[in-house]
Amino acid sequence: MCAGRAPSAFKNMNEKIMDLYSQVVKERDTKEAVLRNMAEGVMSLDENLVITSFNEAAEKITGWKAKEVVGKKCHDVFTGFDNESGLMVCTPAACFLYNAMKKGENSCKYFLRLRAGEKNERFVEFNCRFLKNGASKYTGAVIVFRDMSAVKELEDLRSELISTVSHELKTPLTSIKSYLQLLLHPKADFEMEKVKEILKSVSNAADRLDRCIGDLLYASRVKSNQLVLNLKHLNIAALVNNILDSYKGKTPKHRFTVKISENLEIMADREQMEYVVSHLISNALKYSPDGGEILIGAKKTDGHAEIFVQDQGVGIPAKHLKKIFDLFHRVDMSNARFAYGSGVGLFIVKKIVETHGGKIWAENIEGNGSRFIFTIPS
Amino acid sequence: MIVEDDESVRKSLKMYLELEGFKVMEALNGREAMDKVMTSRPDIIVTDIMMPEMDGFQFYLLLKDQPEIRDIPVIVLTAKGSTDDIRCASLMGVDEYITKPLDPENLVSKIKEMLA
Repeated sequence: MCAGRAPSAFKNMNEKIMDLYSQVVKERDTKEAVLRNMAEGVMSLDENLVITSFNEAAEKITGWKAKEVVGKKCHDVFTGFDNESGLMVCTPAACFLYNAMKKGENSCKYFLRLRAGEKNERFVEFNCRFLKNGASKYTGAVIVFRDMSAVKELEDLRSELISTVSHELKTPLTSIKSYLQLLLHPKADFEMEKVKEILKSVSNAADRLDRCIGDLLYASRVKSNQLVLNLKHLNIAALVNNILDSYKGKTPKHRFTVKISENLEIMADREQMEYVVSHLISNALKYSPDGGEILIGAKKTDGHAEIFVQDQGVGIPAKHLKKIFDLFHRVDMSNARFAYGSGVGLFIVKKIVETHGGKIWAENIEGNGSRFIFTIPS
Repeated sequence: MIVEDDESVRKSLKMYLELEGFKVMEALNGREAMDKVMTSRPDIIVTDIMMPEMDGFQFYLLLKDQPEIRDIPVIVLTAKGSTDDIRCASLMGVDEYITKPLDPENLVSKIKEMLA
């Protein structure tokens, strides 16, 4: 009887083994699918810090294929620099994983500037968990890493913003403080005319401070879409000529040319349109330090008026052409001969134009200078 | 010598320092300052950082690279308050660092201290 049951017992055992095997395969496949689809890069290392697995996200972040790195020592593959000190921490002599193991640690975290594969430099956060057999024997490590380059970019922007805003606000404040201290100086014995001149400078610096704060508040209002339009028929030529009157005699190196037909009108908010045109003209003056012609033109296009301000200045580096309208974006000016700005003006200008239903863009003029063009429904 | 691109700050500091008995030279940026330093050696330089054409840090490095003028003490005057810039200044070994808005009285005492 027992012998008769044997085939069926074997069959049952076989089925159980097959079930267990499928269960194991299913679990393995699930884990692999989880690893494959994780947004974070994951790699495992053996006790000698040799890479044993490398998931798809890790491939994306580094630009390497798993087959290129598996079997190699981690520090032979990665070239990383400590973000704070700038020192290389992924070498056989200075491997941060090896150092953590020497200290007997269970885990370690590092923020690295990583040079990997064909990709550019990435900022990567490494979280390493060591695997141990007992209290001290290391059997390997699992490293989860995240590409923080976008976060780093934001962080850099924030830091640039603080320094720009701080420069724009503190510079006029410094001159106000210095002029006032000058008047209060025990040895100060100025003629009334000189006192008036100093006070005029204080007043100008206070105006500049006021404009800067106003621009920042305006930018924040514009950013949260709180712009309210008071639309009226505006004659473009009259608006431009009115603005140009305020520059008379102030910029002898520049000459203004206006090419706008007298009856061209738009539906727009006067105050905001004045801001747009004034800002583009003042930019044109600022970026043409050697002077030249500032040409302001307008023509009627299909349902719109197209208005432009053109200078013969330094132009805009190609990579900045699209970004110049971003909030706090400023072109690196360390080699140019013009003053710093707060990086909010063109952002405000773009938002005003778009709120009116128009578009704005910038282009370089072959030879020299740049042209800012915007459209407003007519 | 005052190296500062902002006319108002430059003039106000110049007037204050002149009232204190100093003879003051002006430069609008690092490049202009470098030219002037080579021809008429000032006793001390007060320089801004954020300037067009050549910023204060570039000017400082260039100055310290020239054996005949590297001993001129430098006070870096800037509106930048971020820790990065302070760290950058200290890594570069900047002699003195003052953050705007500065107190001109404080600037004068620093200058006197450094020239003593």
